[in-house]
Amino acid sequence: MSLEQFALQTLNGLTFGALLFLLASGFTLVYGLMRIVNLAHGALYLVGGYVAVVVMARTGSFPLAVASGILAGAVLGLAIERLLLRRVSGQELPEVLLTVGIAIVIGDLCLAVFGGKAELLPVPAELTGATRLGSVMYPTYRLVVMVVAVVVGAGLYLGLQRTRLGARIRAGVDDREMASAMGVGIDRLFVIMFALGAGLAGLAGAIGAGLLTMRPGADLDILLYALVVVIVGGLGSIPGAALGAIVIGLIDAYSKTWFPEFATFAVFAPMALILVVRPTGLLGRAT
Amino acid sequence: MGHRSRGGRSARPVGSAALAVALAAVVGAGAAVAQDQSGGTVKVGFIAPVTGFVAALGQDMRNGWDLYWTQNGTTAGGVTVETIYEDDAGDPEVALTKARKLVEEDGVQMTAGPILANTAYAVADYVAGQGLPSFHITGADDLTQRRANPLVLRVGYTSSQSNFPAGQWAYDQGHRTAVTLCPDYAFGWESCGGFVSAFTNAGGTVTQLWHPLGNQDFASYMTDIQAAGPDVVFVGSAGGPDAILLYQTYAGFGLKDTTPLIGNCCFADQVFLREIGDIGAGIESFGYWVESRDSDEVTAFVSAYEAAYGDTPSLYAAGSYMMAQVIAEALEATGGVVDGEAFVSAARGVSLADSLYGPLAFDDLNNPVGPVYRTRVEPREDGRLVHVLQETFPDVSQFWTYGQDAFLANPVFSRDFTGVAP
Repeated sequence: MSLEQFALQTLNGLTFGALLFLLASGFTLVYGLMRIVNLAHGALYLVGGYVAVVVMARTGSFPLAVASGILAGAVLGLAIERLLLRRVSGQELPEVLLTVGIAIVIGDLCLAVFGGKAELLPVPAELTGATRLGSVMYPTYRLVVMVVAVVVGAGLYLGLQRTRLGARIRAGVDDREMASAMGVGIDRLFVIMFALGAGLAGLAGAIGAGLLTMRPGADLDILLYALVVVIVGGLGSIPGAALGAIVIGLIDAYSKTWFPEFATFAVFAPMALILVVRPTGLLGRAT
Repeated sequence: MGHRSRGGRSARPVGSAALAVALAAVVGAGAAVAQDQSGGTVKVGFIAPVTGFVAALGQDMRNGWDLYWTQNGTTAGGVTVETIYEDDAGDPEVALTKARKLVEEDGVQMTAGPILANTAYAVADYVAGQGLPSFHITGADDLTQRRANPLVLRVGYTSSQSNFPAGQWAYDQGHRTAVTLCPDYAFGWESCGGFVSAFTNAGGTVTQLWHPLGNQDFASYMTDIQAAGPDVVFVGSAGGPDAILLYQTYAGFGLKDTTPLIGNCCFADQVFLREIGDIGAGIESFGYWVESRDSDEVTAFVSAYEAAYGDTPSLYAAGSYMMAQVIAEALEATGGVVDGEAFVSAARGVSLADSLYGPLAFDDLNNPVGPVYRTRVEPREDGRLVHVLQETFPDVSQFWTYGQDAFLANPVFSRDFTGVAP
């Protein structure tokens, strides 16, 4: 393999990892504060993607499509948290089962509304072309996805470290009861956090609809990858999600070239290894 | 050739469905006998995945099937055909359970469908084990090759059948190096096997890439193709979402403008064409269903289908229509009597001067011998993308030019075996 090919495969891995990060970051945020394993996160991704496709078809505006995807995810997430999850708050098993049920219902509703075909978000012309990198062309949109992920990642990190809301969230993550006793409105934090996580899923869906297409089952396929990312990186940690996304994205790209027979295995093997050697993930903390 | 010598599959426990199946077997045993001689009605069990990850194909199948009976009436050979629909969700265990239900509870006299290879094998094995005919449009090569059964008839082509001409044609165009990209399971092995055999026998060399099922991102393969720099790329895809993603990535990497791509039967299928947009125009592929072919049969079917369902009929809709037509013709031939192998023999005897696929007959192993078409995707007058006929390869057999015995002496196509020697 030439150096150039290696560099391009690295870029392939990083750009796919960027999408995984967008999805995994929302998942890990919600878990970090609320200890909810939200398996409906993939369904929010699916809804965000479909809404973006519809808005794009109606208005032709890409920014508006992405914004609607985010909004759809956040609003739906909010409804799920307020109307359903709240009723089983604090009970781990019912929470997980409820999110599984929600995922199935949303997946089937999407199938009923949009049919079994794949929906592709028609990305505007200035983003669909190829950018010349060295002697080869590389899709511009993939580079855009990477930029979006970096911006979102930096925003989340700074938001958590530098803002008052971030400080309260970190306090809630560290010790929920103590923070509550110190006057932090945990209940409101939960709402904000769930909506933010769901909005990130919607964003990932809108971006992913241009990269991977939306179709029945896309939610579960991508959620599986996001779970691997989160487990490798460490549950509840944003830097962990970033590291996990890079690791899994690169493994996915390299393995398809170097040992294609084991491409699927190669993605899941590190997760098993991490669970055995370091169950909290690379950057996770024991709770 | 080939009597029923297997049964292991149908005797296999089916996990959580085992109890339901056992109950159905007990309850249904008496009913099946009682309904066998139901006089003026023939019951057909129609199995298609209308939910799950191939739901779009299953719905098309159902539409095509229904359209035949709507257009031609449900009476054939003096009996009325009654369809009982089941959904297999693309899952072989579910397909088997549904087949059992159809036979043992509903007392169907034959089955038609499903589409995926593993589901079709499960249904074919079980239904043949019950002494009943089953009709298929799945591509799985061995269904009419090493696992052929006098009770099983395929109305579609094998996965490899239409790709032999593709390999030969690519070589004749002056291409000498090819990259093939196929999914890493039986359908992909067989699709690429057809192309690779013919192309390498002609003197070409290939680099073979395989992508896993449920692949999320095709970028790595595009980089590999760029590195190999072949004369031509062959894609053997099951169509639908995967194919759309693959071709969008192909175009995104700028390969569309530098390297010609040839698709198999199903890569640029009608589901693909509905969604792909402008970049779809110009794709060349080899298959047996051409929705714009100049034929009364095709024109009538396409306009009726579009009027009824809005979409251009896919290969799966056409295939199911053809299954219904062959069954109806066979019922005419037997005077409505459905009697196991004799009925399938009658179906094999059906020979059509023109059909949705063109002139069609069946070989001794119950697989069609018919034309393969090279097509190019172009917009129709109303802007819809359709396949436009470029060249016809008449009377293509599932054994290409190798001959049945020589071909069957080889193992079935797999990841490790894609080149039949001449």
